[in-house]
Amino acid sequence: MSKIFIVEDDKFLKELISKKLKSEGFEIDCAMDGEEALEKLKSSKFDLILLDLILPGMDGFKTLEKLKEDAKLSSIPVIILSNLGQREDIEKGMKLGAVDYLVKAHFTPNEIVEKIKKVLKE
Amino acid sequence: MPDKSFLKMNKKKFSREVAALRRTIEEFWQIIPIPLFSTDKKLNILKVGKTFKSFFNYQEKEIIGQNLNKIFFKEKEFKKLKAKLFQEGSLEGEEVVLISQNNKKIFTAVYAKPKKNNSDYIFSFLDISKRKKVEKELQEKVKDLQRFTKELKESRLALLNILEDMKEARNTAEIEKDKTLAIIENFPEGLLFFNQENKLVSINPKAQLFFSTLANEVINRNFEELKQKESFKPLFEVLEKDKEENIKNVLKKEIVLDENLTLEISAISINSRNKRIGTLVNLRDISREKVIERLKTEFVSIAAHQLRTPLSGIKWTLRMLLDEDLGKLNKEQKDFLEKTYNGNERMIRLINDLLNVTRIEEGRFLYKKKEANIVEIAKKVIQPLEEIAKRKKIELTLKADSDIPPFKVDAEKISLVFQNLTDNAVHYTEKGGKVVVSIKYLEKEKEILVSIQDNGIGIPKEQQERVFSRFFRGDNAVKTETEGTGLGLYIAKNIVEAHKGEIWFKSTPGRGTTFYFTIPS
Repeated sequence: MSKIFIVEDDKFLKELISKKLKSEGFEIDCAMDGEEALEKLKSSKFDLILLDLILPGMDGFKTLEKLKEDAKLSSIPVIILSNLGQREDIEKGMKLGAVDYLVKAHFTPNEIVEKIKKVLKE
Repeated sequence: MPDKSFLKMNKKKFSREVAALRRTIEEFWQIIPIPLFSTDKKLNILKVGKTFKSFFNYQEKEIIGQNLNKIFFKEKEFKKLKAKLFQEGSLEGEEVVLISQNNKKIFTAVYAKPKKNNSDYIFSFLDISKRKKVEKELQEKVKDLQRFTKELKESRLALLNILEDMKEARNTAEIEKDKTLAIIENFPEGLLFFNQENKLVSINPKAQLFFSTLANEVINRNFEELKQKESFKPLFEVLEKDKEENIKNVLKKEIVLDENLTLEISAISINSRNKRIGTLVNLRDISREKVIERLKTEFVSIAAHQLRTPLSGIKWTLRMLLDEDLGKLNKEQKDFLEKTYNGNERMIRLINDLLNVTRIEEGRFLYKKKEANIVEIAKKVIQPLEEIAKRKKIELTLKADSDIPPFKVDAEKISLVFQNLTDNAVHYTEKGGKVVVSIKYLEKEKEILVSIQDNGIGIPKEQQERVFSRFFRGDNAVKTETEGTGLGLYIAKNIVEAHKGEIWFKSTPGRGTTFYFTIPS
């Protein structure tokens, strides 16, 4: 059973996506901000991270940077799940090491699950 | 009383002396180089000297006994002279015209003196012909001089008048120049003026401020010199010379001098009496406009993001309900939820389009052009649409030339164009219709021609003009499908034109529409 970590500050969206992933058979944990995320990620092993960009305190980009700096955490694949969709944001995210960038409003929960499964297969 | 013998003895001596004297006088008469003659009191000629004879060409016998008037040219003059002589007793250089035997006129100055002992006269004269000639010439010269002096005076007068007129004209010009100068100096935009030799002859204070330079540092420098100056380099990114070495006209090109200073440059050739006299360069500070644009884009970006968040929530929720993740639904419930879901999708699309529109207007829309395969881009776009086409029983085909070379384009944006046009074709064509996307390579023009042809509802004639404007949707389109945003074609047009291509269409309402666009290399 794969473990997925969700970093999302919007309670409703977090609930929705958690519910969907659980129903697909994934184990879930989550955090509302970058600091909390790093802490929790260090204490348990996860197979994939869904990362929002607009977060309270340290933003998603900074969090991603820190993830890739940490030797233990850098190998976990990160999919950015955000409503920012400008070209610069996508490029920045990919450059920092994300494996994919999904705009929340453009993907249904099923499509997100598809993307996750694809990444986990690799 | 002297005695007789003394007188008798000296008579011979006196006779000899008198004879000698007589001979001497005779000699004088012969050798004196001026004409000499004597007359009686009635002015009949008694004796003439040798020079007289040769001067007048007379033999003795021809002239002796003749009256003086014989050698006078004019009787009137003779009478006048005679009167003067008798009145004053002598003549001192009276100027008269005499005449020789062979009718030659001689200008003379006549001198006459009475003989002491009797009333005879001794005449002599000087030939003043030469003098007369010189005098005549002098008179003529004097006349000429007077005429010249008169002309000179008139010229001087005319010149003074012209000078006065010129002074007045110059004053008027000075006043105009001062006015113009005042306008230029105080103009709120930067002004540069280059003369026909492309030398900078004027730079107003505003322009000096923009380039952090003083007039004296750059005045009279030519185009090439200024190009090298560091602070001016951005300006010369938009100022160029044409083949005839004239500065090309520029219309509203932007240059960035600083993070807080953006200028809009225009250059125009200035002509006077059909001759080009220089180039006027206008610099408009549009920093504020740029800030406003930036704020607008930031606002829209933030608004877009904020709007997307609740919309994503709604999308996911509705999707999960519709997929029956949360329990079974009856048909009616499904229908309602479907419609809500579609409405939500439409809002999401609208936000995207709005974002794109603001970026177009900000001019930052085209990202990077890279070599790409146009046919591949088209294929990627058409593939998802094949689903929808199948559902509507519409035949959707892609035809492409086999030899299309890679073209430099912004792939993402060109996809949008294909997507938009093909989307429209499929959505506005009824069941059983046909949509053909064809891509051709025009060798001569070295450009790609794409056409998307459908046999759908077409575009009403009266509305064809507005098709590419923002938010415009044809009446028949709105009735057919409620979901369009009206921004798609506006965005597509901008993308095609940003690639320097053209976009147009042909349409017959009820029969179909074909959209065309070109991409040059």
